[in-house]
Amino acid sequence: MKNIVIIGNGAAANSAVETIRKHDSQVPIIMFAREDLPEYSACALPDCLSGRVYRSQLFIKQLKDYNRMKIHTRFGYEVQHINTSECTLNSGQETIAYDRLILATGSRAYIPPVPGHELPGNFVVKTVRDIDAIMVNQPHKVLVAGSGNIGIEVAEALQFRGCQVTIVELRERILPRIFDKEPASRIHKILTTKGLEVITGERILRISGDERVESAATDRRLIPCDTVIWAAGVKQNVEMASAIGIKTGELGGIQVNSFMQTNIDSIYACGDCIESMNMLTGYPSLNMLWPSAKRQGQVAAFNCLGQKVEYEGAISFVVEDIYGITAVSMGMTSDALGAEDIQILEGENHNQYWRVLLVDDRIMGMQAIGISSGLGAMMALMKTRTPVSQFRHTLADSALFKKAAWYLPAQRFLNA
Amino acid sequence: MSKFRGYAGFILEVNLSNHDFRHKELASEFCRDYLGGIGFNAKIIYDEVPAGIDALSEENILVFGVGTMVGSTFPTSSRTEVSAKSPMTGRFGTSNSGMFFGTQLKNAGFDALVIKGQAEKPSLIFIEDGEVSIQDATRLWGKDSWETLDILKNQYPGAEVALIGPAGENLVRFACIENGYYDAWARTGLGAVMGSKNLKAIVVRGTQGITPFNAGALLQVSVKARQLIESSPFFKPFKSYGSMNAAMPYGNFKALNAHNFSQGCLPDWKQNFDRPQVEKLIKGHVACQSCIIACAHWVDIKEGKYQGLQMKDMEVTPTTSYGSGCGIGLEASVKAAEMSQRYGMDMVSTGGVIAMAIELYNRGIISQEDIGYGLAFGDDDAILHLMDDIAHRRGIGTVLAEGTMRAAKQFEGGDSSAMHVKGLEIPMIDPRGRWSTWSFGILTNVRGGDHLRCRNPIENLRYNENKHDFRKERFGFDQKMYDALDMPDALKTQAIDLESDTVDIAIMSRWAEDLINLFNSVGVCIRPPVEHRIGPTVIAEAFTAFTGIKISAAQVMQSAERTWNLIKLYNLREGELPEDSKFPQRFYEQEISGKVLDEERVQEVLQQYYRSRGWDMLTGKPGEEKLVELGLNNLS
Amino acid sequence: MNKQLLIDSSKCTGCGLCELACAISKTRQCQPQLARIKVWRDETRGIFVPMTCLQCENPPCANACLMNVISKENDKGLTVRRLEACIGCRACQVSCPFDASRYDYIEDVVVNCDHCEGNPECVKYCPSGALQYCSLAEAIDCLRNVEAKKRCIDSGL
Repeated sequence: MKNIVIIGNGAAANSAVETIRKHDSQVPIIMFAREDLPEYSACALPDCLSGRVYRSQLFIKQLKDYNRMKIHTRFGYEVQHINTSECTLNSGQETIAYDRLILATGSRAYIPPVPGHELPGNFVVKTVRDIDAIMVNQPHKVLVAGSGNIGIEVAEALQFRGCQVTIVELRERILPRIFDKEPASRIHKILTTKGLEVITGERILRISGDERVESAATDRRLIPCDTVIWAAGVKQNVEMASAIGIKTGELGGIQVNSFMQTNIDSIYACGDCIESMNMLTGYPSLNMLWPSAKRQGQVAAFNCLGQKVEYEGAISFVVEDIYGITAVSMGMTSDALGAEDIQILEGENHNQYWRVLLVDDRIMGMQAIGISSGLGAMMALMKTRTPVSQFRHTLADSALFKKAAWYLPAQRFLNA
Repeated sequence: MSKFRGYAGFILEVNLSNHDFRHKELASEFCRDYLGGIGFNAKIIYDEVPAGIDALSEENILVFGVGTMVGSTFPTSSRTEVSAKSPMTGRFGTSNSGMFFGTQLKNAGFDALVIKGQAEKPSLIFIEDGEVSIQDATRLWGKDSWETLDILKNQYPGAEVALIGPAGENLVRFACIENGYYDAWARTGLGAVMGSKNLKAIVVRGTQGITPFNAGALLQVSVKARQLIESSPFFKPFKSYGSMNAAMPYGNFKALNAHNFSQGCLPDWKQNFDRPQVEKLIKGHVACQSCIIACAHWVDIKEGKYQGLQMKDMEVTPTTSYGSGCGIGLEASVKAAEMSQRYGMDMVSTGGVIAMAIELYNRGIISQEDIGYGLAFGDDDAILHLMDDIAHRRGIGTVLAEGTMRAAKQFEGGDSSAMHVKGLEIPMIDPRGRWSTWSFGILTNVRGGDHLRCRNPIENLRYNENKHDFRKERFGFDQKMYDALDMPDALKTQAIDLESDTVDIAIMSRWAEDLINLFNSVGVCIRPPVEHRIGPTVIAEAFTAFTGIKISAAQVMQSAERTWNLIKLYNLREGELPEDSKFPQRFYEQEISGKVLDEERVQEVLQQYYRSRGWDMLTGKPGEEKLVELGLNNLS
Repeated sequence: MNKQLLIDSSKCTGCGLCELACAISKTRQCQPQLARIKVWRDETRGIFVPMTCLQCENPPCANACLMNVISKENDKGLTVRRLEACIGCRACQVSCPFDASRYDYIEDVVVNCDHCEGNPECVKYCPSGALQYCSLAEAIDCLRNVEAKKRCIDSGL
């Protein structure tokens, strides 16, 4: 094999190159990326905003690491065109032939085109440069638009920095894609107790200001602010792929098979830019999370190298630190499960809350607040589709239990 | 990180009457003078419980004192002492238990918990990491202790619970405080004190950790202590067989409490209670916090009448109290242990009261009409039924719930069947069958008739020789064992005479009592291999490494002696008389295997014991010189 | 041959000395919350299970880590962490099926068992033989073999 070219420099791309190098120290690797920066953790950006993590700490790699790994980097260069019949790609600077191409183009932050969204003072939190820009702007009164995990993290980070923060969420509850109503309302209470203003069920209609952001108007009120952070979702970077005939799916991501192959020979895709199979449902879903990206990058790399590894599917797994309280969501929410017959096991004691969603005696999702132990075991049970009745039976039988002692921490969540 | 070393640093005082909470910081003189555990309890109770109060009134104070070494790697450092004025004996009531309650209380920030007053309605105290609250426990009142624990352990995962069962709620005088499912602060009726305060449970959860003064030194002394304990010849048998090691020897000596101390041993004892029968039921071993022995057994009864019963059990206490005392079989005694735990009743006292009831029934003093059903030694159904009646103060249970001393007075001629000393039922050992430091200690124990505070650390269970008119027992070990015993030389030569191969009971008793008191202050277990090999030298070293308080072997022993004397002073203030220290008349009159206690000789040993303690030889009152030596001469 | 920390829970008596020994040797505190090993107790059945990092070949914690702190770059087969890069987000802790990662609240990082440089403290203090340190070849019915290989590699955890 002559070479492997990767477009992207995020979690999926780097997981891919690390996997390649673990198994093949020689094959030439070329990495293209729009940002001229070495790999950094996008997930840690809010921690940098808050000041808890230095900007330099964000970087997972230095340029010398790429050199050490014998990776040819083209950071700051955008791939303009790919010729799939000749297997070449063009960056405006050069034309390169590829044997295998991995698309890990990721996603970009989405800003709804409301009037005023282009005024100075409007930001997203997706890249290091975004953080730089926000800090230069010296925010004081901040409006965070959107209450997904990015929105909540950014809000807490800026409050920690001394800003006065208001969160506006379109839907009736915060963190709607990650938490059911009950846990979401508990988190909502934590946020307001800590001094965040949280508004749900309102839409931002307009950002106003003379030369920069001065206020935002929802369908119900006017919110004075000097900074708007849009945490309203992301759009996948699939335009170039579409242009060259790579199939995308209904959800907007690149379609891949379970070997991370696109419909075009020798071209693979992984990370935020793809639609991945949901491990629990078998259906395509968007799983734009760090661990999914890493695993997909790994699988893509194996298959590039000729080792057939099948992707088991993605599973949602979100860990939030909300004012020191750990909030976790894994698998599917009640909304996502839709019309299924869901059995809910819910419990709380003292400062802990959990809810487990079961369909057909199998764990399909779990949400927990204030708990950090036993969740890994629940995740493993969920991934292995272990029926809860079998779990209980195994625990009750001493001989069986010996082989599955790791079940024990999960026991308290699955009491009958 | 805490500013305290070794200690959590605070005593928590909870007043159930007015819901007042106080965190009292520990003073270093207090720590040096009393160490912890029973030491703390004795001082607090002496100072703050007014003389002559009714033990079941709101004026009584219940104190949980965690041993100093709890929370460390020191082997067997798990023990917590609980004390109050006893409703059974009218004197200092106290009991000691291990497992994990002490760990949680100390990690929650408290070396002791002092409970005062009386709650208006059934309540529970919840303590977590420095925070305290009193919660309503009406929904739990009436439930047995296992049902209650199922609920509380589910509600507070990771917490430990001290609680009472129906017996405590009904003020059965020998009700105990349960320590989780399978352990208890059993003796002297502390459960009734807790019940009289309307306190159902104390739930504790602590995650704060303890800061050792010198972590390296602590680890070193822990390793040393472990090597010492493992080198004891008592270690292996105890590790594999636990407290049951005493069951057969005492049976062979005909020195058990068989059928209410009417025989030295039941004829089928060996057949029903020997190792093979016991091992059939044992599935594994369970340890207390930091214990290297794990003497407790997990019992699983797979067949027969009690099939399906699983619990941590197989101790010599239920097997002798119920198996020997009341004549029921091995598996039935496990069942009786389960019910004792569920009801929350002291097994020794319950077994003692029931054995007395059966004897009275056999003597025709209690009739089937009085009870509602027949009673017989060995009739486990009737005995379990009677346990239930006692726990709920039903029928004859109303009288028996008062304990042997008081219940006997309700029956003409009942006194002669009541096997107690100072109102506390005598466990397991018949001093007539085997006279030793251990049996003598039943007489002098400050909490009443009990064997757990005076065991010769170098007790030799191979021999049963009453030497020199009750004054000595056989030593039976070699020079090496003598040399290795951690005892000050001057005292050791008085206590053990290698030439005559004897141990002086009066002197060894005083040493053993103080040593055990030391263990109960620092929270270390008194099981034979530990008591044998761990002495004041190692304990002083561990104490200093953990707390930073420089203290010598002599000083820790003195602290223990101070505590023992203080408790004696408390008892005297409560009206203890010299004549209280006597065995049941039967021991002086009825022979077991041709042996009987010589009252005069026993009295002489008692006087020698008083002398070795620096107490008045006739009255047993601590002498002025001794009080000055211990700094106890200016008490109110 | 690399050595493994072998856990036989049928021998565990629940004494908790492993937790204390680990915590003291790593942090000088008698603080089981900071120990890299934890004893899970089911006291109503007399079952005690010590659990610690099984040094999985393809660790789920490494996948979950947002800062790529965790790797297998180690000649002893250990799962190692570059703690200076850890931001204490606890994603790894939540993703471990064996609950083996421990949040060090003093340093605000997450740690795992590192075999104490080849001389594990917990093994030294275990009085019942439930914890042993031996090579894979010597191990019988090793938990890592059965569970970690099965769970962590084959199903891509």
